[in-house]
Amino acid sequence: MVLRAGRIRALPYTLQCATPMSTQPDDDGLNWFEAALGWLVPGYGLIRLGHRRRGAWAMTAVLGLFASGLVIGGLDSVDRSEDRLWFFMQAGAGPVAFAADWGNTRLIKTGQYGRLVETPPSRTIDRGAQSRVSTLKSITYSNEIGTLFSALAGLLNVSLVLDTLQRRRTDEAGS
Amino acid sequence: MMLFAWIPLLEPVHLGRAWWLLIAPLCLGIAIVYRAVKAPTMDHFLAGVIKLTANILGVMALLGALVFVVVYGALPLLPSD
Repeated sequence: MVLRAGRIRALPYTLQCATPMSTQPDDDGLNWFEAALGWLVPGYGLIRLGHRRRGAWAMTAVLGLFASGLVIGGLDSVDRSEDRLWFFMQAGAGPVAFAADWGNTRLIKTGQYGRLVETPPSRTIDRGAQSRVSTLKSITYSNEIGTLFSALAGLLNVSLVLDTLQRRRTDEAGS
Repeated sequence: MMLFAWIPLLEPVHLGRAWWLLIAPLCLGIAIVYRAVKAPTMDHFLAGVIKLTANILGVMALLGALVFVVVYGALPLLPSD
């Protein structure tokens, strides 16, 4: 349907007030702007598309899982240099993953919190890796489960971003 | 008393032997996102999430029981040589 300038006044108030450009799908029909927002703040892309409840629940789940991972494994469960493959998944959760890695690097690995202690000799250290580690470094179940929680949060957010990319905008209440 | 010395985020949690219980919140988070993506409408959203979480946990418990039976029941019956 082609809208003429003279007929816009006849549109319902909610349609007249719709945010221009960013809430409209791009030429290819994909919501690139909302998808990018969804990566920055999990679930927010869906909220921008009018799926408020859907987006709020998704945001709660992804950020809740990521925060749970940090609480269980500590900041050390997000480590871009030592657990690179896991970090690729965790990065799907957006800037929070980079913030957690920054916190790990600046607060724990430098010894600002906790103490740095010598590690026993191993082949890993012989290859030039870090020879002193923090007493706050997480190990065993805590580290594994914390890493798993935050990595799953990242993967789930990637699926949300892909969903946001192709989902239709709605103005229905309760969606 | 260890809990009072624990600093959230900086120190990992001491999980002890209860680590496997964390599968429940993990499945809950997955179920919420799955339903948020797949559900055509948001009617009965929470009921669907709870049902899906229970399904995942139930199937995993069944698989765990099956593996337990195989490892501790069937494998010892095999001839050792």
